[in-house]
Amino acid sequence: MYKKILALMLSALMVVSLAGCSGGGDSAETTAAAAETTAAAADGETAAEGETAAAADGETFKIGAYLQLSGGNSAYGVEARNAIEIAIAYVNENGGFNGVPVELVAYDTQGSAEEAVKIVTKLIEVDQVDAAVGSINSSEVLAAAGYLNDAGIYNFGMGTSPTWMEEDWPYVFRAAMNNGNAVPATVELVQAFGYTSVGTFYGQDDNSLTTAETFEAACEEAGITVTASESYDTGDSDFSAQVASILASNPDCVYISVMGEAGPLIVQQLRQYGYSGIIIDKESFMESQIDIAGEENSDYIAFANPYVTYASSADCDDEYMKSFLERYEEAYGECCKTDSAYRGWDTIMCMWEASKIAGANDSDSLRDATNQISGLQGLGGTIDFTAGDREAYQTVNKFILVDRKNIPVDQWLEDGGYDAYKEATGNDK
Amino acid sequence: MNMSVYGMLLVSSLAIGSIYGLIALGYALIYKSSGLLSFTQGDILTLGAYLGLTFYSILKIPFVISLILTMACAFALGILLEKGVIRKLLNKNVGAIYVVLATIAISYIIQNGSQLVWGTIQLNFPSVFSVSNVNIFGVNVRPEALMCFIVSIALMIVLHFFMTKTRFGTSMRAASMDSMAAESLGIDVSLTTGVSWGLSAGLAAIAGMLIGPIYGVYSTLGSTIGRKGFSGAVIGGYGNMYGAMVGGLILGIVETFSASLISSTYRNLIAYALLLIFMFIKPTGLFNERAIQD
Repeated sequence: MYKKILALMLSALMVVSLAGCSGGGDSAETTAAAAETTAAAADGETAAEGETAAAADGETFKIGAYLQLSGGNSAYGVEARNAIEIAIAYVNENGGFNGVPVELVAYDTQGSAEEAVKIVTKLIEVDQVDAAVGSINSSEVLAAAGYLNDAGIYNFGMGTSPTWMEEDWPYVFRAAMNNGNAVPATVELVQAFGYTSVGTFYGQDDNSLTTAETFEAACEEAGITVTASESYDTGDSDFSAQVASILASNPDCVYISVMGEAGPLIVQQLRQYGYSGIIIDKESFMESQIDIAGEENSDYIAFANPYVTYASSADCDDEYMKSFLERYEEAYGECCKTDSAYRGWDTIMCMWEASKIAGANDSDSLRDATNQISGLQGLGGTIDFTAGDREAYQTVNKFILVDRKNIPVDQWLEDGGYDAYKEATGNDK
Repeated sequence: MNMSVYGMLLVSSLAIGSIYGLIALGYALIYKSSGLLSFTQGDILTLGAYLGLTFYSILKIPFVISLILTMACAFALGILLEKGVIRKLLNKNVGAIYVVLATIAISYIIQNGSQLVWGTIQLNFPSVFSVSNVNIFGVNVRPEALMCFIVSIALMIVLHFFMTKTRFGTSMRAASMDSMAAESLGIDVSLTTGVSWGLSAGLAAIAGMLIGPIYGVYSTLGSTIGRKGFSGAVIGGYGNMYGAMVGGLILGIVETFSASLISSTYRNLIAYALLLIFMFIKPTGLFNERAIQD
């Protein structure tokens, strides 16, 4: 009996394991399956735009949020929710949306695209929200935001993948960076250091994979040789084989396009294997990641991003950012360690600005007004939606992390930082 | 690729392979003592990493004492699981599948409970040694990686002597072979089974504390490693303690070198294909353990 069960469990294990090997196709399959499931579930009770509009009854302006609040990587969702709560409190203290107080209804996606779709369906059908804020995980936004769009509900996603903003979803906006848009600036970084070759290391998740592919194509166009291209699966913790292969190809620098938790492990193992050169990251190397990788391993990580994280508000010189960080520290007792908190704040501020421009709170007015926002102060600089691509940030800044400080690359180069780097590491490049 | 890179790959593969081996040892012990399959090993590894981090980094207790404390906590948890859940289910004469499902439920409870206590942000396990690298025959080796391999092999040897040279170990083996006959000879089978589960949990927790300084500590640390450990146990011969360690090491070497020399994209595919090959061609594993075949 036991042996039959053992055989059964082994078969189950094999199926699960092999499914886990399918890499990049994984998320797309999950998303499609989830969409099918929910489409079937919601069949016959599709949200009508009239119903949604009717939900905006003037008592409160209800914002629904679908965020990963539990499980691995949930720290990003939790910090985003914290910032959204602070932002909503601030908006309510200052008159709400055209005099209507804002209310938040947040649900936990548990990191699952399928769960995100179920939640969004609930937000539309049951909670009848007036607007929605999407997940930090792009795969969840890709799966769920289409339902909000089809229901004509004004909403923002907070993931940074290029893919879901390529959809024709006029009600869907983003007040965070687009990793794809940052690629040209990232390639410029490689060129700024005078490098002609790069080894790339990327995750198989949608965002990491798409950004890495865009980066490699951009490198090819710019005449930069990709000497090695290595990947890992979600859940992997030992990257020694990939690191060895990349280093054996002897690139001028290493580019990483990875998810939050893997980043510091990869940086740590690159340094452990003796790589002391410059690492180019697809986005900022955050405080939470420095804590894991170790300060001594986190030097010389360069990236293009609208903003950077700080150990505390005291370390920040930017007045607007500093006031946000102080607000966060006051509310939660410590500084946010990830930039997902910035995305949460910026998102609510964009919605608020749209409500001011529109002078009304219905989705169509907010959608049209958002497209008119320009010159709005964001945590990552000036927010401008007038390009018509529904993206808030049209530019990124280039930084390099040295001694736990994010220094603008141009300034670092001007101040002789590159020579100091060569002297400190003994590298000739 | 030069020889020093191959050397580094070998050390890395032995380090991760020995961790798979420790997990596989736990599977083997549980199967041998109770004929059951437990899916808690990976998450107990995670718990061990968190406990070790708490003792060593937060409470500032010396590493070796932290390791012993971590093992003791996990040992107690293992016994508690056996006595409080597994034994009670078996006493209700439920099918073995229910016990297996119970271990899956427990693994999720441990994982979510860890998140509740330690949060979901990945934590840094500080280095155990004052130097970050040691040079052995021209190969830069992280001392923690070396420690993984040495401690794992040492534990396997200690376990071997415990099982073969001590009275209690002999009782455990007797109880696993024929529990009724063992009971008639005065062996407390319930105790030996409980200790087996405790030892398995202890081994997983030690594995967690050993890899914490290398990979950091996070709530899903043990998920993949737990599955790979299971594969290592099958490759070595499910239920065979020596096979468990050898199977784990082979898996570590194959996946690391194949990822480097063939393709990192297919790293897990290759590792699990090896499991399939063994199941079809040699289901008794390298050490000819007949658990799966008959």
